Amino acid sequence: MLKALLKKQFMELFRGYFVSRKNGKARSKGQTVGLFILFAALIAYGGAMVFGLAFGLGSQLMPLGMKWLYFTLMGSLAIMLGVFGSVFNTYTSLYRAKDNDLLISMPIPPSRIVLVRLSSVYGLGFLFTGVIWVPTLLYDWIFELPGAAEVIFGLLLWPFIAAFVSVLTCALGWVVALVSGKVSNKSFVTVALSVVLLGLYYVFCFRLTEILGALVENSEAIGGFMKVWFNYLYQMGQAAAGNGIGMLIFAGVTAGLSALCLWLMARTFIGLATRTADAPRAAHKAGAVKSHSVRAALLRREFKRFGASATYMLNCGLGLAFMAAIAVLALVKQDTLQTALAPYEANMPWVTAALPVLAAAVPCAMAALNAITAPSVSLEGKHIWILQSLPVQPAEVLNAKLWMHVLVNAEVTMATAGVLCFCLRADLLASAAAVLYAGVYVWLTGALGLMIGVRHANLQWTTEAQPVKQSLSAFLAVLLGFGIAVAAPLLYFLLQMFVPLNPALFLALMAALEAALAALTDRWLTRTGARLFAQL
Amino acid sequence: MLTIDHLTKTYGEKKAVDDLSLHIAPGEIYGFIGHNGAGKTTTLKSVVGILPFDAGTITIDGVSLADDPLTCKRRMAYIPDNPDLYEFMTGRQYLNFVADIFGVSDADRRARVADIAGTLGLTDDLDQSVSAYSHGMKQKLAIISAWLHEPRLIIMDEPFVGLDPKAAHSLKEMMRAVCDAGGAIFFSTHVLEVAEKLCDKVAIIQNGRLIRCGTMDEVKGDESLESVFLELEA
Repeated sequence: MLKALLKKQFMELFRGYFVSRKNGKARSKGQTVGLFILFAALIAYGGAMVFGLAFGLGSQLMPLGMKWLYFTLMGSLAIMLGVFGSVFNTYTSLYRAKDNDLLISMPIPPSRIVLVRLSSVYGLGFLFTGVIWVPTLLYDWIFELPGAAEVIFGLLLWPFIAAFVSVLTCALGWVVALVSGKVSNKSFVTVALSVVLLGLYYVFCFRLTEILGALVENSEAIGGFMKVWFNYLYQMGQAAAGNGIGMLIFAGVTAGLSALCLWLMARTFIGLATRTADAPRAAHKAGAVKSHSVRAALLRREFKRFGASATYMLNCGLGLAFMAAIAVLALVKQDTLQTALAPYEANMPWVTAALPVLAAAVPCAMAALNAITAPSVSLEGKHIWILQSLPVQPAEVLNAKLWMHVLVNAEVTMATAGVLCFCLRADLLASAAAVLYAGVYVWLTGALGLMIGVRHANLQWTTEAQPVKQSLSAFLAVLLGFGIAVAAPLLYFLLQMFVPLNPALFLALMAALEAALAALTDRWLTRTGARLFAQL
Repeated sequence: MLTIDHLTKTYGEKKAVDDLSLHIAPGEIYGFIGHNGAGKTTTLKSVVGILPFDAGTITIDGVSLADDPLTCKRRMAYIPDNPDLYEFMTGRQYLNFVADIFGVSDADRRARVADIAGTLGLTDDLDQSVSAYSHGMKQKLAIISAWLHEPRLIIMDEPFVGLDPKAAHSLKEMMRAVCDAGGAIFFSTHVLEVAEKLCDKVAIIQNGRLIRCGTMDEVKGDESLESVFLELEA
């Protein structure tokens, strides 16, 4: 039974690599290998960045004889990344999987269902922790020439760290499941909590160098603190440094925690997975009616869809939080910004000349994360029949999707560009051009995202995370949006090497070019896109 | 009202609907029966414009579905076999969305929702999220949304599945009322007793081909519909 369940779980997880989610046909070997290579390259890229961090920390701590602290700190970072990477997925995959009812209705003990669900949570945690832990080990192996025990324990620790990550994410997932049953606006609550968590994470990342410096300076004190207050993590560091007792303690505690987690989750799984809502029943409100035009009705539908899904909002609206944060930061740190830029004004005036272009490009790069339109067609899923059977033109539906993207993103992106221009003391004309450019960028990327979404639509998915996070459309849309955002300043710098260029004129020209591209994409959506949508 | 002329739809090599022709006149309740996979749902989905078909024509009140799908869709309503409705809306929000699309006035939608929801016993649940609805409640909501713009033609795929006996009875009365007012109903069912009692005409489809159609008397004669159906299927 367990084998069959695991097979199902991993088929679901890796199906996208072997079978096209779009048409259900098997991928060619070349496509499968290509997808795996792309995935491996992304992991390797992340690992390479972490290796730099490991080098920085290791080269400071190892000579002080604090090898265990190096492993403890890097291990803790692996745990943090693992939890951060998996926590959003855990609640959905554990408690909101579409086949929960089916599996619960079968004679399968809840512990088996939980175990199988946890296998994918564990797999994800294993992957995320590996991004940190493998470079950590590599640094040690390359520069410190460790003994056999260190190498073996280092490798053995990886699955145990991943198990600890699973325990933590399950605990968080369990809390989310418990809380979400009690609140009515659960999507917004989930998003708010996640944004706070993300904020803390980015504050940590932002101050990482500062924190590392403090760590190295106070390594003795921190070591003593870890040993007393976080003995579990201290034992992990000791184990990685080749201490057998540390290995036994860390492995034993982790195995115990995992068993306890599994036991607790098996006991509560059915109750949480089948809970619809303990929130108070909505009161019947007779006569609450207000009619809208077809266009407004479709647009309202898009907003309701967006607002009803924490996954959708978090993954396709995160850039808004980033933009708001950077705008506030720029306003607060105006003087620091001016002081930092002052030397450039005298020595490298071409840098300061480019500031309005950068002020437009930065929010655009953040808006690239908000690829709302890319998954929106796939998200129609099994409900597609409604739009297809109603008397609406497919082009109207696509238009509503694009408008929602523009309405959600444009104001914030344009406002952030304006604030940045103000903080960078850009002149009025350049500021206006930057704001205009930001608005046109949002239109273009929304239209392009929708084009990709229509072309690569996949209505067959088990969890919303698939079209929103794991689809080719979403990936391509973010990549393309980011590419366009970065292209503008690159082009500006390149052109400036040959001719002095007014940033306002450049931004206006770029806005005109992007508007033309957006209009062409819009035209494609109205004709070919609408036809493809009707045929879904 | 509805004319299906030489409709053909293939999936790869398989002909799901093969040269099917039917005419449904105003005032008729037309039953569509056949075994699983016979082509009923494919035919109904083609009629409502969800599935593109390979050959043939479908016209509603003389308007070709292929040439002017929007006009045709405005005149009809569709209830699928599995009512997957927007779970991110409440029942009322869903009805308002559908009413907005069909341009139903505030007063009309208020009166119709109150009337039909009352008849089907869904009034108290209209402000709940659709995600909390049972299959039967979704089916009731799909029925209210279909009746909301007073369509002339209603296409239904297994409409009685999931309905409680009272709601099923109400639905039958609502169907008859539509036809008495000059509309028409075309629906598929596996419940032959319902078809026999309710339908003015019936069509039997087998492996995509229409094997018999006509008034109930023409199709079954003195026998029961069930025995005729089983005979034809044998």
